[in-house]
Amino acid sequence: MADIMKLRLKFAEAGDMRWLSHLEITRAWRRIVSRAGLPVAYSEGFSPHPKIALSPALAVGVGSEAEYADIVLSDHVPAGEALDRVNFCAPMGLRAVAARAMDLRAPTLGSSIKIVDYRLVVARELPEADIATALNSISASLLRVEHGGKRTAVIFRLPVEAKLNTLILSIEESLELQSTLRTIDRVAQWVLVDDSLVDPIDLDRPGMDENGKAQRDINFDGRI
Amino acid sequence: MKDDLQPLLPKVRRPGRYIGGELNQVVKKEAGVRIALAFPDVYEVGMSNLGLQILYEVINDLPDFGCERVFAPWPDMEAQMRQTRTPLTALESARPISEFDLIGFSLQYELTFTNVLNMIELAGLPLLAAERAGLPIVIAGGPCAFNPEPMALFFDAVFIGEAEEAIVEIMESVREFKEEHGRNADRNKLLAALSRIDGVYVPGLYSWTGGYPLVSQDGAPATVKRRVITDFDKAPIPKRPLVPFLETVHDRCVIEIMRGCTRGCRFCQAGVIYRPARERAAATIGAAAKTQIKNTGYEEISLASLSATDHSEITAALQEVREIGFSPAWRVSLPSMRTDKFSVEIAEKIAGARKTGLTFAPEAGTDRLRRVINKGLTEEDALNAAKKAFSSGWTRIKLYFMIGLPTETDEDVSAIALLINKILEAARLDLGAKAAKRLKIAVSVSSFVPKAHSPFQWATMITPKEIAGRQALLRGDLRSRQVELKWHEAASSQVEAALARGGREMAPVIAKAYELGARFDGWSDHFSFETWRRAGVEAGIDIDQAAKRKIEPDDALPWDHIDCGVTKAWLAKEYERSLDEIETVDCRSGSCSQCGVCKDGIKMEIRS
Repeated sequence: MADIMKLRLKFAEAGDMRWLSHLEITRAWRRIVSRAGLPVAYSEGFSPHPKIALSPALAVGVGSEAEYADIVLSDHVPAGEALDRVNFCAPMGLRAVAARAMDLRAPTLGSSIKIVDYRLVVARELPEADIATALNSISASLLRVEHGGKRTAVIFRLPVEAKLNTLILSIEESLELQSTLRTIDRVAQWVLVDDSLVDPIDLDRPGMDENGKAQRDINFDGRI
Repeated sequence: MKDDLQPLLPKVRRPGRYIGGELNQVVKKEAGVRIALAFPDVYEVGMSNLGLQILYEVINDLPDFGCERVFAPWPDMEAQMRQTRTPLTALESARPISEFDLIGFSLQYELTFTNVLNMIELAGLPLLAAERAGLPIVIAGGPCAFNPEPMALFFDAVFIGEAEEAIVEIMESVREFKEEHGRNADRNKLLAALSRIDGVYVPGLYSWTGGYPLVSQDGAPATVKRRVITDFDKAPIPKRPLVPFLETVHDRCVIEIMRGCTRGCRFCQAGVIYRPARERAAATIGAAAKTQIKNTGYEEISLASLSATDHSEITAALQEVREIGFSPAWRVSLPSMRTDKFSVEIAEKIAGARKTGLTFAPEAGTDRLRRVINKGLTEEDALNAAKKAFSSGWTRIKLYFMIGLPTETDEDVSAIALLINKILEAARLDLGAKAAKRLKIAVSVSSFVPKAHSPFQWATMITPKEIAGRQALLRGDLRSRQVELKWHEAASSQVEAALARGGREMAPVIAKAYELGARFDGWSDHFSFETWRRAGVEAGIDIDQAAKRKIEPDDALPWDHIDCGVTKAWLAKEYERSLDEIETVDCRSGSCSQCGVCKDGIKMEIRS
């Protein structure tokens, strides 16, 4: 069977799904796609594998609002229908939020995603100056700080190749967070198109930021 | 509640073991009676257990009953739980299992016993049944429940046999108790009621003064009869099996195509305690397979039984299942095949171009010893099966053998090597020297462990020294680079043997070993024979003696009050016949060896 289309899904890993490894999430998608009855294409050979590729690995313990899966199909399925079908078959916490039919030759997620945004939430108040210093020390750029009750949310941006776990450890150390409850989520992943940041699910449209505002400038301070 | 576990998860390996939330998980907000099915091994092993999947669905299909799961925490998680005083919780609701009405342990192998104690303690409950009050009731089932005595003092009740129907009766009984008296009432009333359910053994109602047989009291039955499912074709098959995120040991759909086995191998406990053989119709198997595939998304299915190629409709069943083949990755596997030509032909059909490996179990090296164990297999069969496998395109086969079988001599051990060399020689003749050079034979050798309710329950276990000697002998005879020889841990087999045929006197040893840190004893990198030997010394039991103990035919057995359906007289006769090297017929042959299991509506259910 020939490869007919590439379906790109944007999905969230909510709740306990953060505790699964990249491999386990990949296996889960293989089962979901099979249950959903999507005509997924397989590799050749003695041990054929479905052509499913996920965006760059997310560390165990990190949740996400912006993961992506590229699934090669051997038949046409409207993106909206595919979205409904996978959501009907997915376990709690794995939820597809958008789907798009892509050109089969579109660059892979792995090669095109360059920049990733994270949100660190700690159950404590943090002075902004300390946050800035801490992020500076790991070459991350600070996007936003949100204070609410006794919680602080720090949204920051990193190049995709940065080793998140190592960085988190050094942030924890410089902010003295070791014994504080914290969660980390990936909130966005970006592809660069003509110097603009574009959501991989949105490739032919201008990128939007988290607030839905068109975002044409690279909000990255050039320290990659 | 779930929040208690969250801070521990970043600190453990594979946190996915502790989160639940898998496809097809059932979470019940309201339930009159709740049971936590407890599997005393790590998640990836426990989730491969078919019984767990069956009971999970049987119970959760009933509106007022709730069933959740809990597995043994890996040592890293245990350390975290103890450090933070976090109780053991069930996966579905994250509720402590001490708040359930029942905790139901699955006893699949003896070397999980210390994990059982660990789980009871991590639940915050006293280890000894006599020291617990009210609910939950801690109950156990599974093959090791057939000699419940070593663990008897830790369980409130032990279920003997097939639980699909009885679990409902047990839960009903707990419901009545709860409604009438409340959770914390005197549990003796409930225990008495449970002891009146067929198949339920309440150890506290049998007095032990050091000897056997045990004597029942307070109206408990003198012998506890094993429960058997009749009309197996109609018995529940999971429709929506849980689909783990983690890669488990058996990561696929499983349909039990037959329960029980007609062969009567004399070392085999399963061959006795699942009698008589009952088959499912090919159409039933096909329909169940379709349902499971649709509800799980798995691309592989395994047709499980003790001897798959004996099923009288195996060809039709495979046809049904292969036709489901909805994806290029679709795969059917048949574990436990006979060592014969027919089985290889079947294997060839399902393997197609993907001939990864084929497993046979000749078990012993000589025809004589195979007659002793009633394997019903000659050297010619084994050679033909191997030749057929190689000529059909397999380049790798795996052979299972046991050492330490009753009456075994050095000659029998050396004959294992002879048989393997004969197989390689035959392959050279058939395929030519060049092609034969590419072949690999993986040989896996385990030590025979005598098990309760098998004809060899009276036999003795060989000592670690004898095992080492026979291993050396075999290693010396098997020098071909085409042969890859693997041993099963010799020392853990000793503990397994001591527990498998032990009585209540083993309880202090198990408790002591647990106290000394024994966990996951079935895992070779966790097992410590020294710990067990020391536990034995402190409890006044010599583990090595207990393992190799020969039981005399007239001795009362610790499990004499457990009626597995097959008579003790038949087992004794089988043991005698084995020593005389006389084989006993297969139940399918049409003649009957009068094992005693077929009575009261229980009979062999063979399709054709």
